[in-house]
Amino acid sequence: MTSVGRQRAAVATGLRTFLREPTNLGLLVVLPPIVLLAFDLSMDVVADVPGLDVPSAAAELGGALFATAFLAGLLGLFQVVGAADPDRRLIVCGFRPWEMLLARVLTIGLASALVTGIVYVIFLTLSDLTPASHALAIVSLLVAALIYGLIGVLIGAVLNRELVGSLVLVFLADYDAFASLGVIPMDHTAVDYVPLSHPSNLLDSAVHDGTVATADALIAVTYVVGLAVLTLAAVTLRGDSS
Amino acid sequence: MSDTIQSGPETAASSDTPTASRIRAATTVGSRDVYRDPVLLGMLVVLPAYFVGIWGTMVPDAVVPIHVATAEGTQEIPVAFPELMTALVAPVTGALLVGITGLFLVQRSVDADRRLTVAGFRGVELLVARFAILVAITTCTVGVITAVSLLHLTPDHIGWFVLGLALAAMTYGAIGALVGLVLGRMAGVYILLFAPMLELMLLQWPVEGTEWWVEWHPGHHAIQLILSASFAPDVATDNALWAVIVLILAGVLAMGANMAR
Repeated sequence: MTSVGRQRAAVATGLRTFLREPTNLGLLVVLPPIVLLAFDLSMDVVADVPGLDVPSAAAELGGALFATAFLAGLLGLFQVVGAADPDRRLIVCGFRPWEMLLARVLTIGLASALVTGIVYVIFLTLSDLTPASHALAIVSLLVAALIYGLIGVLIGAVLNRELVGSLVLVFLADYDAFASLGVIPMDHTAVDYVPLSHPSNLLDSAVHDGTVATADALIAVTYVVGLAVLTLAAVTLRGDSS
Repeated sequence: MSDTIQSGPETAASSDTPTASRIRAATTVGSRDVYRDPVLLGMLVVLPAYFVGIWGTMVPDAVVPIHVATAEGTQEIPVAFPELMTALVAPVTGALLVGITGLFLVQRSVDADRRLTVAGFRGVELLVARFAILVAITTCTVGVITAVSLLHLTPDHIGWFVLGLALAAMTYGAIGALVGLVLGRMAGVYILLFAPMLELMLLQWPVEGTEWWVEWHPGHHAIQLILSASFAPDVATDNALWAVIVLILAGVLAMGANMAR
Protein backbone atom coordinates (compact mmCIF):
# COMPACT_ATOMS: atom_id res chain seq x y z
CA MET A 1 0.00 0.00 0.00
CA THR A 2 1.31 3.49 -0.86
CA SER A 3 1.64 6.30 1.69
CA VAL A 4 -1.44 8.05 0.27
CA GLY A 5 -3.40 4.80 0.44
CA ARG A 6 -2.36 4.25 4.04
CA GLN A 7 -3.40 7.82 4.90
CA ARG A 8 -6.79 7.35 3.29
CA ALA A 9 -7.34 4.06 5.10
CA ALA A 10 -6.32 5.50 8.48
CA VAL A 11 -8.51 8.62 8.10
CA ALA A 12 -11.48 6.60 6.87
CA THR A 13 -11.14 4.18 9.79
CA GLY A 14 -10.83 7.03 12.28
CA LEU A 15 -13.90 8.80 10.92
CA ARG A 16 -15.94 5.58 10.74
CA THR A 17 -15.07 4.72 14.34
CA PHE A 18 -16.01 8.19 15.49
CA LEU A 19 -19.25 8.56 13.50
CA ARG A 20 -20.45 5.06 14.43
CA GLU A 21 -21.23 6.31 17.95
CA PRO A 22 -24.64 8.05 18.08
CA THR A 23 -23.51 10.25 20.99
CA ASN A 24 -20.59 11.49 18.87
CA LEU A 25 -22.98 12.52 16.10
CA GLY A 26 -25.00 14.38 18.70
CA LEU A 27 -21.80 15.97 19.96
CA LEU A 28 -20.98 17.27 16.48
CA VAL A 29 -24.42 18.42 15.43
CA VAL A 30 -26.47 19.19 18.54
CA LEU A 31 -24.14 20.43 21.27
CA PRO A 32 -22.31 23.31 19.49
CA PRO A 33 -25.58 25.13 18.73
CA ILE A 34 -26.69 24.61 22.35
CA VAL A 35 -23.41 26.12 23.55
CA LEU A 36 -23.90 29.07 21.21
CA LEU A 37 -27.41 29.66 22.56
CA ALA A 38 -26.18 29.31 26.16
CA PHE A 39 -23.46 31.90 25.49
CA ASP A 40 -26.07 34.25 24.07
CA LEU A 41 -28.30 33.81 27.10
CA SER A 42 -25.46 34.22 29.61
CA MET A 43 -24.13 37.36 27.94
CA ASP A 44 -27.61 38.88 28.00
CA VAL A 45 -27.61 38.52 31.78
CA VAL A 46 -24.28 40.32 32.28
CA ALA A 47 -24.62 42.84 29.42
CA ASP A 48 -25.67 45.70 31.70
CA VAL A 49 -23.43 44.93 34.67
CA PRO A 50 -21.36 47.97 35.62
CA GLY A 51 -17.64 47.23 35.42
CA LEU A 52 -18.00 44.43 32.88
CA ASP A 53 -17.11 45.10 29.28
CA VAL A 54 -19.35 43.13 26.97
CA PRO A 55 -18.36 44.09 23.42
CA SER A 56 -20.94 44.31 20.67
CA ALA A 57 -21.83 40.83 19.35
CA ALA A 58 -19.39 39.28 21.84
CA ALA A 59 -21.84 36.53 22.71
CA GLU A 60 -22.41 35.31 19.17
CA LEU A 61 -18.77 35.64 18.10
CA GLY A 62 -17.39 34.18 21.32
CA GLY A 63 -19.91 31.36 21.36
CA ALA A 64 -19.13 30.43 17.75
CA LEU A 65 -15.37 30.56 18.35
CA PHE A 66 -15.37 28.53 21.56
CA ALA A 67 -17.99 26.00 20.50
CA THR A 68 -15.82 25.18 17.48
CA ALA A 69 -12.37 25.39 19.03
CA PHE A 70 -13.00 23.45 22.21
CA LEU A 71 -14.77 20.66 20.39
CA ALA A 72 -11.72 20.32 18.15
CA GLY A 73 -9.55 20.22 21.27
CA LEU A 74 -11.58 17.40 22.76
CA LEU A 75 -11.54 15.53 19.45
CA GLY A 76 -7.76 15.85 19.39
CA LEU A 77 -7.35 14.61 22.95
CA PHE A 78 -9.73 11.66 22.69
CA GLN A 79 -8.53 10.67 19.22
CA VAL A 80 -4.93 10.40 20.36
CA VAL A 81 -5.57 8.70 23.72
CA GLY A 82 -8.31 6.42 22.41
CA ALA A 83 -6.40 5.41 19.29
CA ALA A 84 -3.03 4.79 20.96
CA ASP A 85 -3.32 0.98 20.96
CA PRO A 86 -4.83 0.58 17.44
CA ASP A 87 -2.20 2.99 16.11
CA ARG A 88 0.60 0.88 17.61
CA ARG A 89 -0.85 -2.20 15.92
CA LEU A 90 -1.03 -0.34 12.60
CA ILE A 91 2.61 0.72 13.01
CA VAL A 92 3.53 -2.94 13.46
CA CYS A 93 1.62 -3.59 10.19
CA GLY A 94 3.81 -1.12 8.30
CA PHE A 95 2.23 2.29 8.92
CA ARG A 96 4.70 5.03 9.84
CA PRO A 97 4.23 7.04 13.10
CA TRP A 98 4.05 10.39 11.30
CA GLU A 99 1.41 8.92 8.98
CA MET A 100 -0.70 7.93 11.99
CA LEU A 101 -0.30 11.38 13.52
CA LEU A 102 -1.20 13.04 10.21
CA ALA A 103 -4.22 10.75 9.90
CA ARG A 104 -5.42 11.79 13.35
CA VAL A 105 -4.92 15.48 12.57
CA LEU A 106 -6.74 15.08 9.21
CA THR A 107 -9.63 13.32 10.96
CA ILE A 108 -9.85 16.13 13.51
CA GLY A 109 -9.62 18.67 10.66
CA LEU A 110 -12.52 17.08 8.76
CA ALA A 111 -14.68 16.85 11.89
CA SER A 112 -13.79 20.45 12.78
CA ALA A 113 -14.74 21.63 9.29
CA LEU A 114 -18.13 19.99 9.73
CA VAL A 115 -18.62 21.62 13.15
CA THR A 116 -17.44 24.98 11.80
CA GLY A 117 -20.07 24.80 9.06
CA ILE A 118 -22.85 23.93 11.51
CA VAL A 119 -21.81 26.57 14.03
CA TYR A 120 -21.46 29.24 11.35
CA VAL A 121 -24.98 28.61 10.06
CA ILE A 122 -26.35 28.84 13.63
CA PHE A 123 -24.32 32.00 14.20
CA LEU A 124 -25.81 33.61 11.07
CA THR A 125 -29.29 32.61 12.22
CA LEU A 126 -28.88 33.96 15.76
CA SER A 127 -26.88 37.10 15.13
CA ASP A 128 -28.08 40.45 13.84
CA LEU A 129 -24.64 40.89 12.32
CA THR A 130 -24.04 40.37 8.64
CA PRO A 131 -20.40 39.33 8.36
CA ALA A 132 -18.40 41.54 6.01
CA SER A 133 -16.54 38.47 4.74
CA HIS A 134 -17.99 34.99 5.14
CA ALA A 135 -14.84 33.32 3.83
CA LEU A 136 -12.53 35.09 6.30
CA ALA A 137 -14.89 34.43 9.19
CA ILE A 138 -15.00 30.71 8.39
CA VAL A 139 -11.19 30.59 8.02
CA SER A 140 -10.84 32.31 11.42
CA LEU A 141 -13.04 29.66 13.03
CA LEU A 142 -11.04 26.91 11.33
CA VAL A 143 -7.76 28.41 12.57
CA ALA A 144 -9.16 28.42 16.11
CA ALA A 145 -10.25 24.80 15.68
CA LEU A 146 -6.83 23.82 14.33
CA ILE A 147 -5.02 25.48 17.25
CA TYR A 148 -7.16 23.71 19.83
CA GLY A 149 -7.17 20.46 17.89
CA LEU A 150 -3.36 20.46 18.07
CA ILE A 151 -3.44 21.43 21.76
CA GLY A 152 -5.71 18.44 22.37
CA VAL A 153 -3.38 16.13 20.44
CA LEU A 154 -0.38 17.51 22.34
CA ILE A 155 -2.04 17.02 25.75
CA GLY A 156 -3.12 13.52 24.73
CA ALA A 157 0.37 12.63 23.52
CA VAL A 158 2.06 13.93 26.68
CA LEU A 159 -0.38 12.72 29.36
CA ASN A 160 -1.94 9.73 27.56
CA ARG A 161 -4.88 9.76 29.99
CA GLU A 162 -8.42 10.87 29.19
CA LEU A 163 -9.38 12.17 32.65
CA VAL A 164 -6.22 14.11 33.42
CA GLY A 165 -6.03 15.33 29.83
CA SER A 166 -9.66 16.48 29.96
CA LEU A 167 -9.02 18.39 33.18
CA VAL A 168 -5.96 20.15 31.76
CA LEU A 169 -7.77 21.01 28.52
CA VAL A 170 -10.89 22.25 30.33
CA PHE A 171 -8.97 24.52 32.68
CA LEU A 172 -6.95 25.96 29.82
CA ALA A 173 -10.06 26.39 27.66
CA ASP A 174 -12.18 28.05 30.33
CA TYR A 175 -9.48 30.57 31.16
CA ASP A 176 -8.87 31.16 27.45
CA ALA A 177 -12.59 31.76 26.85
CA PHE A 178 -12.79 34.64 29.31
CA ALA A 179 -9.36 36.05 28.60
CA SER A 180 -9.77 36.22 24.82
CA LEU A 181 -13.41 37.31 24.91
CA GLY A 182 -12.58 40.35 27.03
CA VAL A 183 -15.78 40.24 29.10
CA ILE A 184 -13.90 40.24 32.39
CA PRO A 185 -11.47 43.19 32.40
CA MET A 186 -7.87 42.08 32.93
CA ASP A 187 -4.81 44.24 33.22
CA HIS A 188 -2.06 41.83 32.27
CA THR A 189 -0.09 41.37 29.03
CA ALA A 190 -0.33 37.57 29.38
CA VAL A 191 -3.93 37.86 28.17
CA ASP A 192 -2.63 38.73 24.69
CA TYR A 193 -0.91 35.35 24.41
CA VAL A 194 -3.71 32.91 25.23
CA PRO A 195 -4.31 30.54 22.29
CA LEU A 196 -7.61 32.05 21.12
CA SER A 197 -6.71 35.71 21.54
CA HIS A 198 -5.57 36.17 17.94
CA PRO A 199 -8.17 33.94 16.22
CA SER A 200 -10.71 35.98 18.20
CA ASN A 201 -9.26 39.20 16.75
CA LEU A 202 -9.23 37.63 13.28
CA LEU A 203 -12.88 36.67 13.58
CA ASP A 204 -13.76 40.12 14.84
CA SER A 205 -12.07 41.92 11.93
CA ALA A 206 -13.47 39.42 9.41
CA VAL A 207 -17.03 39.95 10.64
CA HIS A 208 -16.91 43.71 11.16
CA ASP A 209 -14.50 44.94 8.44
CA GLY A 210 -13.93 42.02 6.11
CA THR A 211 -10.19 42.45 6.56
CA VAL A 212 -7.31 40.34 7.85
CA ALA A 213 -5.28 41.74 10.72
CA THR A 214 -1.79 40.79 9.50
CA ALA A 215 -0.15 40.69 12.94
CA ASP A 216 -2.90 38.49 14.35
CA ALA A 217 -2.73 36.19 11.33
CA LEU A 218 1.04 35.82 11.69
CA ILE A 219 0.84 35.03 15.40
CA ALA A 220 -2.01 32.56 14.84
CA VAL A 221 -0.01 30.77 12.12
CA THR A 222 3.04 30.77 14.43
CA TYR A 223 0.86 29.11 17.07
CA VAL A 224 -0.21 26.41 14.60
CA VAL A 225 3.35 25.73 13.42
CA GLY A 226 4.74 25.76 16.97
CA LEU A 227 2.05 23.40 18.23
CA ALA A 228 2.56 21.09 15.24
CA VAL A 229 6.31 20.88 15.98
CA LEU A 230 5.70 20.28 19.70
CA THR A 231 3.10 17.60 18.93
CA LEU A 232 5.41 15.78 16.52
CA ALA A 233 8.19 15.92 19.12
CA ALA A 234 5.86 14.62 21.85
CA VAL A 235 4.65 11.72 19.70
CA THR A 236 8.23 10.86 18.71
CA LEU A 237 9.49 11.00 22.30
CA ARG A 238 6.55 8.91 23.49
CA GLY A 239 8.05 6.10 21.49
CA ASP A 240 5.53 5.82 18.68
CA SER A 241 8.35 6.14 16.21
CA SER A 242 10.15 3.11 17.49
CA MET B 1 -7.66 7.17 37.76
CA SER B 2 -5.25 5.42 35.51
CA ASP B 3 -6.47 3.66 32.43
CA THR B 4 -5.87 0.23 33.92
CA ILE B 5 -8.64 -2.33 34.17
CA GLN B 6 -10.10 -2.46 37.65
CA SER B 7 -10.05 -5.70 39.53
CA GLY B 8 -12.87 -6.85 41.73
CA PRO B 9 -12.68 -6.74 45.51
CA GLU B 10 -10.25 -9.15 47.05
CA THR B 11 -12.83 -10.50 49.45
CA ALA B 12 -15.86 -12.12 47.91
CA ALA B 13 -19.10 -10.51 48.90
CA SER B 14 -22.18 -12.66 48.93
CA SER B 15 -25.71 -11.27 48.95
CA ASP B 16 -25.99 -11.67 52.74
CA THR B 17 -22.98 -9.44 53.39
CA PRO B 18 -24.04 -6.23 55.16
CA THR B 19 -24.58 -3.29 52.83
CA ALA B 20 -22.03 -1.15 54.65
CA SER B 21 -19.21 -3.62 54.10
CA ARG B 22 -20.09 -3.99 50.41
CA ILE B 23 -20.02 -0.20 50.01
CA ARG B 24 -16.69 -0.09 51.87
CA ALA B 25 -15.24 -2.79 49.58
CA ALA B 26 -16.42 -1.04 46.42
CA THR B 27 -15.11 2.30 47.70
CA THR B 28 -11.71 0.77 48.49
CA VAL B 29 -11.43 -0.76 45.01
CA GLY B 30 -12.51 2.44 43.28
CA SER B 31 -10.32 4.73 45.36
CA ARG B 32 -7.19 2.74 44.45
CA ASP B 33 -7.54 4.08 40.92
CA VAL B 34 -7.27 7.61 42.30
CA TYR B 35 -4.51 7.36 44.89
CA ARG B 36 -2.35 5.15 42.67
CA ASP B 37 -2.30 7.86 40.01
CA PRO B 38 0.18 10.54 41.11
CA VAL B 39 -0.48 12.63 37.99
CA LEU B 40 -4.19 12.84 38.80
CA LEU B 41 -3.47 13.64 42.45
CA GLY B 42 -1.06 16.34 41.32
CA MET B 43 -3.65 17.81 38.97
CA LEU B 44 -6.25 17.91 41.76
CA VAL B 45 -3.87 20.25 43.59
CA VAL B 46 -2.15 22.16 40.78
CA LEU B 47 -5.18 22.99 38.62
CA PRO B 48 -7.29 24.69 41.32
CA ALA B 49 -4.23 26.54 42.59
CA TYR B 50 -3.45 27.82 39.09
CA PHE B 51 -7.04 28.66 38.16
CA VAL B 52 -8.08 30.50 41.33
CA GLY B 53 -4.67 32.11 41.68
CA ILE B 54 -4.52 33.46 38.14
CA TRP B 55 -7.92 35.13 38.33
CA GLY B 56 -7.24 36.82 41.61
CA THR B 57 -3.98 38.17 40.20
CA MET B 58 -5.03 39.33 36.74
CA VAL B 59 -8.18 41.38 37.29
CA PRO B 60 -7.92 45.13 37.99
CA ASP B 61 -8.06 46.38 41.55
CA ALA B 62 -11.39 48.22 41.16
CA VAL B 63 -14.42 48.38 43.44
CA VAL B 64 -17.74 47.10 42.09
CA PRO B 65 -21.20 47.22 43.68
CA ILE B 66 -22.89 43.81 43.92
CA HIS B 67 -26.21 42.56 45.30
CA VAL B 68 -25.69 40.02 48.08
CA ALA B 69 -28.22 37.94 50.01
CA THR B 70 -28.02 38.64 53.75
CA ALA B 71 -30.05 37.49 56.74
CA GLU B 72 -32.12 40.70 56.37
CA GLY B 73 -32.67 40.43 52.62
CA THR B 74 -30.62 41.55 49.63
CA GLN B 75 -28.16 44.40 50.09
CA GLU B 76 -25.96 46.34 47.69
CA ILE B 77 -22.36 46.02 48.91
CA PRO B 78 -19.26 47.52 47.26
CA VAL B 79 -16.51 44.89 46.98
CA ALA B 80 -13.01 44.72 45.51
CA PHE B 81 -13.08 43.18 42.03
CA PRO B 82 -10.30 40.60 42.72
CA GLU B 83 -12.24 39.45 45.81
CA LEU B 84 -15.46 39.13 43.84
CA MET B 85 -13.73 37.18 41.04
CA THR B 86 -12.14 34.86 43.59
CA ALA B 87 -15.52 34.23 45.23
CA LEU B 88 -17.00 33.36 41.81
CA VAL B 89 -14.07 31.41 40.34
CA ALA B 90 -13.61 29.22 43.45
CA PRO B 91 -16.93 27.34 43.02
CA VAL B 92 -16.43 27.17 39.24
CA THR B 93 -13.09 25.43 39.86
CA GLY B 94 -14.61 22.93 42.26
CA ALA B 95 -17.53 22.27 39.92
CA LEU B 96 -15.20 21.66 36.95
CA LEU B 97 -12.89 19.29 38.82
CA VAL B 98 -15.48 17.28 40.70
CA GLY B 99 -17.98 17.31 37.84
CA ILE B 100 -15.55 15.89 35.28
CA THR B 101 -14.10 13.44 37.81
CA GLY B 102 -17.65 12.27 38.60
CA LEU B 103 -18.31 11.71 34.91
CA PHE B 104 -15.18 9.59 34.47
CA LEU B 105 -15.71 7.74 37.74
CA VAL B 106 -19.09 6.49 36.56
CA GLN B 107 -17.98 5.82 32.97
CA ARG B 108 -14.83 3.96 33.97
CA SER B 109 -16.56 1.77 36.49
CA VAL B 110 -19.09 0.25 34.07
CA ASP B 111 -17.18 -3.02 33.52
CA ALA B 112 -16.05 -3.37 37.12
CA ASP B 113 -19.60 -2.67 38.33
CA ARG B 114 -20.98 -5.44 36.13
CA ARG B 115 -18.55 -7.90 37.71
CA LEU B 116 -19.39 -6.64 41.20
CA THR B 117 -23.11 -6.97 40.46
CA VAL B 118 -22.53 -10.64 39.56
CA ALA B 119 -20.69 -10.97 42.89
CA GLY B 120 -23.80 -9.78 44.73
CA PHE B 121 -23.37 -6.01 44.92
CA ARG B 122 -26.43 -3.81 44.33
CA GLY B 123 -26.46 -0.89 41.90
CA VAL B 124 -27.29 1.64 44.61
CA GLU B 125 -24.41 0.37 46.78
CA LEU B 126 -21.98 0.84 43.91
CA LEU B 127 -23.23 4.36 43.21
CA VAL B 128 -22.95 5.25 46.91
CA ALA B 129 -19.36 3.98 46.77
CA ARG B 130 -18.68 6.26 43.77
CA PHE B 131 -20.17 9.21 45.66
CA ALA B 132 -17.99 8.37 48.67
CA ILE B 133 -14.93 8.66 46.41
CA LEU B 134 -16.30 11.92 45.02
CA VAL B 135 -16.74 13.25 48.58
CA ALA B 136 -13.08 12.47 49.28
CA ILE B 137 -11.99 14.20 46.05
CA THR B 138 -14.27 17.15 46.89
CA THR B 139 -12.71 17.45 50.36
CA CYS B 140 -9.22 17.56 48.88
CA THR B 141 -10.21 19.99 46.12
CA VAL B 142 -12.15 22.33 48.41
CA GLY B 143 -9.20 22.38 50.81
CA VAL B 144 -6.84 23.52 48.05
CA ILE B 145 -9.35 26.02 46.63
CA THR B 146 -9.97 27.53 50.07
CA ALA B 147 -6.25 27.86 50.76
CA VAL B 148 -5.62 29.63 47.43
CA SER B 149 -8.76 31.77 47.76
CA LEU B 150 -7.51 33.13 51.08
CA LEU B 151 -4.63 34.77 49.18
CA HIS B 152 -7.10 37.14 47.51
CA LEU B 153 -10.23 36.98 49.66
CA THR B 154 -10.95 36.96 53.39
CA PRO B 155 -14.50 35.66 53.79
CA ASP B 156 -16.41 37.14 56.71
CA HIS B 157 -17.83 33.68 57.51
CA ILE B 158 -15.30 31.09 56.37
CA GLY B 159 -17.25 28.05 57.56
CA TRP B 160 -20.26 28.94 55.40
CA PHE B 161 -17.89 29.80 52.53
CA VAL B 162 -16.31 26.31 52.65
CA LEU B 163 -19.76 24.70 52.91
CA GLY B 164 -20.89 26.66 49.83
CA LEU B 165 -17.83 25.50 47.89
CA ALA B 166 -18.42 21.88 48.88
CA LEU B 167 -22.11 22.05 47.93
CA ALA B 168 -21.36 23.62 44.52
CA ALA B 169 -18.66 21.03 43.81
CA MET B 170 -20.74 18.04 44.96
CA THR B 171 -23.81 19.23 43.04
CA TYR B 172 -21.77 19.30 39.86
CA GLY B 173 -20.19 16.00 40.85
CA ALA B 174 -23.68 14.47 40.89
CA ILE B 175 -24.46 16.22 37.58
CA GLY B 176 -21.21 14.82 36.16
CA ALA B 177 -22.19 11.32 37.27
CA LEU B 178 -25.63 11.78 35.71
CA VAL B 179 -24.13 13.05 32.44
CA GLY B 180 -21.68 10.13 32.50
CA LEU B 181 -24.58 7.68 32.77
CA VAL B 182 -26.51 9.27 29.90
CA LEU B 183 -23.87 10.51 27.44
CA GLY B 184 -20.45 9.49 26.15
CA ARG B 185 -17.23 10.80 27.68
CA MET B 186 -16.46 13.37 25.01
CA ALA B 187 -19.97 14.82 24.94
CA GLY B 188 -19.99 14.84 28.74
CA VAL B 189 -16.70 16.70 29.03
CA TYR B 190 -17.87 19.18 26.38
CA ILE B 191 -21.02 19.93 28.40
CA LEU B 192 -19.11 20.13 31.68
CA LEU B 193 -16.54 22.43 30.09
CA PHE B 194 -19.17 25.10 29.48
CA ALA B 195 -21.88 24.50 32.10
CA PRO B 196 -20.07 25.58 35.30
CA MET B 197 -18.43 28.53 33.57
CA LEU B 198 -21.63 29.87 32.03
CA GLU B 199 -23.91 29.08 34.96
CA LEU B 200 -21.81 29.83 38.03
CA MET B 201 -19.79 32.72 36.64
CA LEU B 202 -22.11 34.55 34.24
CA LEU B 203 -25.73 33.61 34.92
CA GLN B 204 -25.23 33.90 38.69
CA TRP B 205 -23.41 37.24 38.51
CA PRO B 206 -24.71 39.17 41.55
CA VAL B 207 -26.86 41.85 39.93
CA GLU B 208 -30.17 43.36 40.91
CA GLY B 209 -33.31 41.95 39.35
CA THR B 210 -31.99 38.52 38.37
CA GLU B 211 -34.32 36.69 35.99
CA TRP B 212 -36.60 34.20 37.76
CA TRP B 213 -35.31 31.24 35.74
CA VAL B 214 -31.72 31.87 36.88
CA GLU B 215 -32.80 30.91 40.42
CA TRP B 216 -33.78 27.46 39.16
CA HIS B 217 -30.26 26.58 38.04
CA PRO B 218 -28.37 23.99 40.13
CA GLY B 219 -25.63 26.32 41.36
CA HIS B 220 -27.79 29.30 42.32
CA HIS B 221 -28.14 28.72 46.06
CA ALA B 222 -24.55 27.55 46.51
CA ILE B 223 -23.29 30.74 44.82
CA GLN B 224 -25.64 32.88 46.92
CA LEU B 225 -24.30 31.19 50.05
CA ILE B 226 -20.67 31.73 48.99
CA LEU B 227 -21.22 35.42 48.18
CA SER B 228 -23.18 35.91 51.40
CA ALA B 229 -20.45 34.19 53.43
CA SER B 230 -17.79 36.29 51.70
CA PHE B 231 -19.28 39.77 51.85
CA ALA B 232 -22.47 39.97 53.95
CA PRO B 233 -22.48 40.98 57.62
CA ASP B 234 -24.98 38.15 58.34
CA VAL B 235 -25.17 35.00 56.20
CA ALA B 236 -28.39 34.14 54.38
CA THR B 237 -28.36 30.59 55.76
CA ASP B 238 -31.57 29.54 54.00
CA ASN B 239 -29.47 29.21 50.86
CA ALA B 240 -27.51 26.41 52.55
CA LEU B 241 -30.72 24.44 53.05
CA TRP B 242 -31.83 24.98 49.46
CA ALA B 243 -28.38 24.06 48.15
CA VAL B 244 -28.49 20.80 50.14
CA ILE B 245 -31.94 20.05 48.66
CA VAL B 246 -30.57 20.68 45.14
CA LEU B 247 -27.63 18.36 45.88
CA ILE B 248 -29.98 15.61 47.12
CA LEU B 249 -32.15 16.02 44.00
CA ALA B 250 -29.11 15.77 41.72
CA GLY B 251 -27.94 12.69 43.63
CA VAL B 252 -31.36 11.05 43.40
CA LEU B 253 -31.47 11.75 39.66
CA ALA B 254 -28.03 10.16 39.23
CA MET B 255 -29.12 7.13 41.26
CA GLY B 256 -32.31 6.86 39.20
CA ALA B 257 -30.33 6.94 35.97
CA ASN B 258 -27.94 4.34 37.39
CA MET B 259 -30.79 2.00 38.31
CA ALA B 260 -32.45 2.51 34.92
CA ARG B 261 -29.15 1.54 33.28
